[in-house]
Amino acid sequence: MPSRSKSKRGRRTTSLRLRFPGRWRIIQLMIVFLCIVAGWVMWLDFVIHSRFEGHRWELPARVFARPLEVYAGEQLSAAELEKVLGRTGYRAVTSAPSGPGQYLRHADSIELYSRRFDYWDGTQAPERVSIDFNGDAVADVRDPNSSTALGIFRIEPQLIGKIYPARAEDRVLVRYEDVPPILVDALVAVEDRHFFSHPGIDVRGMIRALLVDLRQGRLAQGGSTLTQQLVKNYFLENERTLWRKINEIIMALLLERRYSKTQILGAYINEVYLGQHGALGIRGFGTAAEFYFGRPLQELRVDQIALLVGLVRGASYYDPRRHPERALTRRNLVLELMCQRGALTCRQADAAKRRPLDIAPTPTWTQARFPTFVDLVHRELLQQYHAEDLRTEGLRIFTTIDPQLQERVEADVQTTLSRMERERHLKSGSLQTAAVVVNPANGEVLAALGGRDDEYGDFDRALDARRPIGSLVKPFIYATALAQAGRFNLLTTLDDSALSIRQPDGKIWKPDNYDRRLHGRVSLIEALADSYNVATVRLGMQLGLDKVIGTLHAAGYSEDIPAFPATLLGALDASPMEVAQMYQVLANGGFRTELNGIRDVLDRHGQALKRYDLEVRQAINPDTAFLTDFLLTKVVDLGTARGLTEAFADSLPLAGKTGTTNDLRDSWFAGFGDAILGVVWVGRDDNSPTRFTGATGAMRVWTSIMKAVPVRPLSIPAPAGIGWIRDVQLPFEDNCLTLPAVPFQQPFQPGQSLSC
Amino acid sequence: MLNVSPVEVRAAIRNGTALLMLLWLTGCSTSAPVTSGGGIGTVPVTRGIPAPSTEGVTVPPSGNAAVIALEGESDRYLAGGRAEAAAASLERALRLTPGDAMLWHRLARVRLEQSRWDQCIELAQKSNSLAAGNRALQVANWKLVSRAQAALGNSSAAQAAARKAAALMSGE
Repeated sequence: MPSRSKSKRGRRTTSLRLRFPGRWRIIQLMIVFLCIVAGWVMWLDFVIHSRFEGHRWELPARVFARPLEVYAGEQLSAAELEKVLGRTGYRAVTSAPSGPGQYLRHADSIELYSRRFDYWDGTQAPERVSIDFNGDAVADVRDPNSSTALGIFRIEPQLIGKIYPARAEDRVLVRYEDVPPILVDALVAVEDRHFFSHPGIDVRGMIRALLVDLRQGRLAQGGSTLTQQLVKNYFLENERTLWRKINEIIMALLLERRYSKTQILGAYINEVYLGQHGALGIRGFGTAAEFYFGRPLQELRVDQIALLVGLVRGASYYDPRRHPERALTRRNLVLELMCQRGALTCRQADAAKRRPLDIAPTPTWTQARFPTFVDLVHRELLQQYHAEDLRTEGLRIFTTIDPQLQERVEADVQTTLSRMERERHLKSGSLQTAAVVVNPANGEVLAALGGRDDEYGDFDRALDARRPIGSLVKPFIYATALAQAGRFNLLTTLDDSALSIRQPDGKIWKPDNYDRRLHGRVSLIEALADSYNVATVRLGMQLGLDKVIGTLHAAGYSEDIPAFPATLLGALDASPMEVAQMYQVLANGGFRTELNGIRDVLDRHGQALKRYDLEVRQAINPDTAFLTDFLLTKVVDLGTARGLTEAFADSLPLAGKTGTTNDLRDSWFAGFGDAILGVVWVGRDDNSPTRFTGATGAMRVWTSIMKAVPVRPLSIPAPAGIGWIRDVQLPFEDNCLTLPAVPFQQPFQPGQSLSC
Repeated sequence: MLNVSPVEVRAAIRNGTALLMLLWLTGCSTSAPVTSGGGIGTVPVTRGIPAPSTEGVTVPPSGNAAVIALEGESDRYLAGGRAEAAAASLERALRLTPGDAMLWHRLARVRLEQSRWDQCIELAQKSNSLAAGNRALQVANWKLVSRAQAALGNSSAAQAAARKAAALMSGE
């Protein structure tokens, strides 16, 4: 018996040993394999987790123009308001507006339904407003429901530019709560019918697609769920390999395990690639709504949403601007699918199919519609924010620009320069220009032009072209004199006879007048009005260069000023913006406010970050500033800018100063009316002579700009320290004038020092 | 139907012409004056405080409905402790009527409220430069300056400003 069991045992053990290594090895291999797979899955899970958790979208900064304020008595026509509304993406409707973003135009009134908008001082809720017009002016602004007068109403500002992240993507973020339900229905119906029930992959869909692929002999991208598409967009390269497909499936399943359907859909809606504009990728439905239709996603119609959903499968192939027929066919297919799958009634689908494409013109802010102005804003912002934050934090930047004025300036300048070139037989395109228009009462920059063509990336002459200012310096010399009220008043005589000055290097300088004549004894008024060089230099030397330089610095000239006599004739380089800053002080009664292109900045949620509030600082005595302003009106009435009296006969008085440099290389004009100041430079980039003086060159461009505003006459009350003398006889050039009233700083009443 | 004789008509015409000539001679021509006593261009009447005191007096409204609305908004913000929003409303109003000395005065008052003494002084001076026609408003501005200077610790400047206010009040 023992021998039998022994042999049996031995046989069993042997057979076990023979079988065991095979199974054990297989099990070992399987364990290793599973470990690798588990590790790989954990790695994918980690990738997903870190991408989603605490994810902050990189959003470009949005740059807005100033909001249009509408109030009774304002110079604004119905047509102009309609234009502004069009630019802000408001839609004209044919009956009373039923939702935000619509307006109804009657002959003499506009009824509009404003959008919700976050301003610095709080959110303005959607509101219905009725605006009545009387010719070119607003007659009344009221609430159409209760008919109460509103006093003033703020129309949301136009988007004028964006500052993009390095990744060159444009994105208008849409919160899930704000997504129109029909978009969700459309996406599900067209792209992923079982989205809300599958675990991340749709097996039946994949098998169906696979069969189709096999039949057609290729590996297409069919059968992908929305989840898979999101994974593709986020993580995977664009190769179509089996390996990528496997990864995609695993990651889709993992994504669904970690995040809700709502979260996934919300990410998808903001991430999906829907177009291209130059180097910029258009990502997300919010962005696409703005890019193709110029309106917020919430305001789109069914047919428009269907078009966007159609773009998911091929944003370039179905681009409605480049391939409108394909886009239309695709859109209608989407509508058909929506009808078949219950997202839409077939009646609605048919009605939608009949609508034309209705695409908005390509938006211009993607290339900075107003490059000089956005450049100004960008530079100002860089003083406060890191460049990276500007590009990615979704800041909302509210600027001071008046886009309608800016456009008129750009158009007028082109026409005027071309005309000027033809008149002097200059080569077309040889003249260049720069212009700055500001509100001197608060320093806000209303328009800025960096060149006649103002292309993005061009040299910004308004900020960076520093040229000698010539006679534009003179008012500051006269202000320095008038500040010494006991010594100088408007009727003080100056000596415009031959002058020789020994310079520090030993050379003799003999300044000359523009007309090469010497005028003997002349009033202060005549010396500035006619811009006599000799009398002015003598005056400046008498005052002392240091005093004059002090006035220039107080007015805002920030660079060092050499104490040379030539400074008195404007051998001083400045950009048009710097000149505007200096003249802002004169136009604002001696009170300096920093010129500024930004009103306030909000963060991506609409919370206030910074407000650029109104600050003033007295730079020149108000009495002195008033007297200087009076002098500048005489430059227009009687002097080198008298050409304006004809062009602006109904808008006088205006104040200004012409400036011309040697050989007519630079032509300048700085002039102001009520609450508006414009500085214009005309010249050539190669610094060769222009053949234009300040009056014949820059002043002409200034005229066309100011006619477009349109400029209103100055209205400056005299400060309390000012007295007047009446009916003053004044020799002027070869005439005898009678000025009805001449101001002086009390108590230094001028005697009649000149008589005709 | 006027019942006048030809003689009376001729006399009226002569008198009318004389009157017109008189008006023309005194400078009241129909074309806009380029400058006149009182300022450059046609200068609006400064609205101001009717009595020489500051706090607690109702300010007469401007003729402009929009400015009225914004001033009201500013007052509400200030009452609600939102001084910067009150300033923003005044700045909106100043875009419409930048020559309104009262608006600048109000802004100076907001800055006082915010302890921004330097700006209170500057804005009060700005208001004064536009308020030649209104003594009471100038008094109010000098009082603001005095308070701000005192807060800055400049007692002599504060006293000087207070003296200016007093002098204006007593009609010098």
